[in-house]
Amino acid sequence: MLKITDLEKIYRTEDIETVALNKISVDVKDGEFVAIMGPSGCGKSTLLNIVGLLDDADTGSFKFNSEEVISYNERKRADLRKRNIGFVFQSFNLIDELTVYENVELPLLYLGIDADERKKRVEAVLEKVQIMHRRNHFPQQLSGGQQQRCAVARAVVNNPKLILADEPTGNLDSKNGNEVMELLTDLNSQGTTVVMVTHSEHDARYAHRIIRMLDGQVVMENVLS
Amino acid sequence: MLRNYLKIALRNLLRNKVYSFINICGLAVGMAVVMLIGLWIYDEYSYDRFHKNFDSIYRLTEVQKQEDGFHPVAVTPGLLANALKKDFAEIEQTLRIGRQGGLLQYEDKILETDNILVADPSLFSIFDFPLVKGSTTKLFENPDEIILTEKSAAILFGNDWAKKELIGKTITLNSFQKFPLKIVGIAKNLPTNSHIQSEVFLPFKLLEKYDEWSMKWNSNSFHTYLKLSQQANVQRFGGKLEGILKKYKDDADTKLYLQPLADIYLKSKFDFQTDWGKRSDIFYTYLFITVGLIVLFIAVFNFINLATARSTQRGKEVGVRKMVGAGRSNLILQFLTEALFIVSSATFLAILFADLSLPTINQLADKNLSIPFIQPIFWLATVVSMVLMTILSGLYPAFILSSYSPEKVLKGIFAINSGKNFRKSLVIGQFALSVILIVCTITVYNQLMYIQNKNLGFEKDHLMYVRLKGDLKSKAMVFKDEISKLSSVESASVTTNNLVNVSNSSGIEWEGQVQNANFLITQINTDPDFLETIEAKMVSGRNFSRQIARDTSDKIGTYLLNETAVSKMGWTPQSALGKKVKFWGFEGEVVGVVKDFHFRPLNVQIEPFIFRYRPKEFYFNLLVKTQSANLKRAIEDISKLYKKYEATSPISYGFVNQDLDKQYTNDQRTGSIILIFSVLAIIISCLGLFGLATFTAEQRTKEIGIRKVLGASVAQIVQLLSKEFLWLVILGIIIASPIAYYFMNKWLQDFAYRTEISWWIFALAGIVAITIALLTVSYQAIRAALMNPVKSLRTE
Repeated sequence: MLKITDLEKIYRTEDIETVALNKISVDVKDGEFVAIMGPSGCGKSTLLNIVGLLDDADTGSFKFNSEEVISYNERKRADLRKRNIGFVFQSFNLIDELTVYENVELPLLYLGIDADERKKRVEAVLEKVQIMHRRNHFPQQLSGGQQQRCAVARAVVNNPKLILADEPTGNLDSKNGNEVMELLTDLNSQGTTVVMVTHSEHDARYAHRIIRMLDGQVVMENVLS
Repeated sequence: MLRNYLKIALRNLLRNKVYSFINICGLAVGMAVVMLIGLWIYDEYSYDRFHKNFDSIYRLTEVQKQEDGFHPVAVTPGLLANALKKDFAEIEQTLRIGRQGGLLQYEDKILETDNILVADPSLFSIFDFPLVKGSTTKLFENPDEIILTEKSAAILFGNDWAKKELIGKTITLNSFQKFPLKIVGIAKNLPTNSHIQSEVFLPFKLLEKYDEWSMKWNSNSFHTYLKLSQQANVQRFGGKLEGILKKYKDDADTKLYLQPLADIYLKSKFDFQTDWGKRSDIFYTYLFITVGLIVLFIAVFNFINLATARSTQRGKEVGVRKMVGAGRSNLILQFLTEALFIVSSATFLAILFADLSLPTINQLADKNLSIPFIQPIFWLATVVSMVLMTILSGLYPAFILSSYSPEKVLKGIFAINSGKNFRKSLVIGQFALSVILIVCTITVYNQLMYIQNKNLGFEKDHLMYVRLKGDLKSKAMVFKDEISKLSSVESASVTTNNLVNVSNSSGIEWEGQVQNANFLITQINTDPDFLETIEAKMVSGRNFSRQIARDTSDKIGTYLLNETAVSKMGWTPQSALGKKVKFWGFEGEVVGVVKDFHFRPLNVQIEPFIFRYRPKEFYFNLLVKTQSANLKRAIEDISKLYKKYEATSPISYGFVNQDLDKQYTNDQRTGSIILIFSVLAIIISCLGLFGLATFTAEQRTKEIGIRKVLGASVAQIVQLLSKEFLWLVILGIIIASPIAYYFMNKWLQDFAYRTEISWWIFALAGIVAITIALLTVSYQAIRAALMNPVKSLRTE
């Protein structure tokens, strides 16, 4: 599904250049669950952002479903994102002014899906993540676990082919963290590809494969049984 | 999607109440000001447009060449209209209008007015002044006819006049003699937006019959209107007219010009008080447009400033929306929808504000404005301005917000300084505009004070005038002598004029006059007590005297001149004595020179003035210097005596100082309106500043916490936060000062006598702006400085 070849990303300020990704190459297959690990500043989040088309690479190639997307303009990126990719972040990133229901509904609105269909899909996904009873609450009224479940619901409501999760359990206690990981595993088992950045060995064990990074390069890959 | 946008807009507004209040109220006040000014301008431009011949009506005006330069006047000779009609095929109809005062009487009902229009019958065919009774085809065929309006008919015949048969009834006009006049029509009250205003109309034939002078070529006393044919080439016709006067009279220097009807109300500036009727000044239109736009821009700047300042709070939302698939156009549309929502709420409030403040504004502007709710054009204008305001205020923030990179904002990385310089420029702009308004307000008030306190060359206080009506005109001297004896009166004098805006200018000839050295001189017929009564001074020679027979003679009389007249004749006050002058055909000797005093508003220089003492002619006013402590008794005593001499007409009196002040009503109005707008501008600017200070304090919470931990005092923190804004305000003042100076200097040029624009005005405006800004900012600064540092550091 994802084919990354010789990808390079350098952050430049007036005095210094920081190489975030150093000619990195990574493949992810359809239906795979991949965990990316490594110390802070190793480039894992940069990689995830480039995969999510939220950031640009300087050089190299990135194919999404065999199509080169590195040179996509903003409009094409937005279009590809809304049809194919769901995001889950450590800090949930829910819109505070919208209720749980409305937050989850948002991607469907940008896809132009009609109201009846939206309602059906949002309710189904809220049932699935078990926060249906909280549908009319605002994010601040929820616990961290509930917020993250809401974020997961929003990430999957448009049936994306790929879910990108950036330390999804970083802000959660172990019980809530496990529940979120179960959710991701469950989605993966239904065919969704999951790429997850994490510091947690425990969480990484939910994946099929662990990519370990250091200084913008892949240093090791572990395939888990 | 739209619902989602509106929902989030509404929730954002509710959550950030201060921000919402500043934005909506600021915009609403700005829009209300623009709405009120819009109504005012709409009304100003509606003048005379109701006439169906609007486009083809012109007034003839003259530019006279005199020794001291060119003088535009609105009056023309009584013979001009007919002469032109004969000579030019372009003219379809002509109309002459003169004006006079008089007293109308029907049985015991009396109507006294200064504004009787004497007009050709074409007044009712060229213009659309419909009659409610009578026929427009047979009007003013005879000199003894009169047309009243509904209003004057009600005064003379009671409120049920419409039920009475008024056509053919005779009423008496007391003017320079008594005339029985037959009513031939009742006109509908003239619309308020007509430059021609009157309640009574007389036929021009009356003048032709009784006033020979009106039919002479030097009778420059009438407004002449022309209705041109549709085919007429106005420019070419105007060119032909320019030098035409020399064909009719010996006057090669006076030029004739066509003034379109559209220009009469707003663009009439004529000398020697020759333009009567309702007038405004296009200057006020431009001034109010400028002021309205200033207030509006200040409000729009607030919106832009706060929206961009708060962008960090919205950044996460932008990131999330982009992440789930929103394109930039989606986001721009969303923020514009939000702006539209705010602008719509502000518009609703603005209409409410405007409607509530209309009574005050009407009173202040002496108008009868109302919001035309039933007219589609109003709603169309409202919607168009709403869209424009949305674009004006929402577009920049929408572009800024939608440009955020999702990857950065979701991580909480903001370019905090982005747009900071732009925001600073807007604050500078706001305060510059506010300071301009403050300087304007102070200067206008300063000038008004200057006018009120200026020594006019005579003592205007405790000076009362009593109109001499009916029989009193011929018994003026006896009446005056009796008044002078009253213990409540210091002195009294009979005059033709009451010293308020004296008009009636004519040409004069003098000994040793060189050819083409002409000027107009204003005259007054008075008595030897005049100078004492008004406390004017002599510079040379002597005053009139009852004992000297020559002084009162019509044939070889004597005259007093003012200093300006003497100097225009090329004399000194000393050399003028004994010189001969010829005025109104009568030669006389200059026996004294009176120190210049102001007999016209201070907009004009003191003009030449001639004093006559002709007790056999009519006097129209009695000037009375009352004892300052006995004003009430003086009025009672004078009224009693008045009744004794003139039982029919009720007494009319006034006070010279009050009437003089009224001449500056327009300027006072401008002053008050600008004052209101300045206050609003400053309030809106401060609202914005308050919002920005709140934002800055919030953003620097951590910094403030660290500084406090390191030992900074509250005062130091307040200083830190206030300093930044103070510089902006000071920069605003620096930018505003020359601009304000330029405009106010231009405004003051309109006054022949004017105050200086001193440095202290700018200093005062600056201090006002700085104080208000400091108070606004320091509230937030103190709040931030008093915050527990532990708490502020925990926010990280």
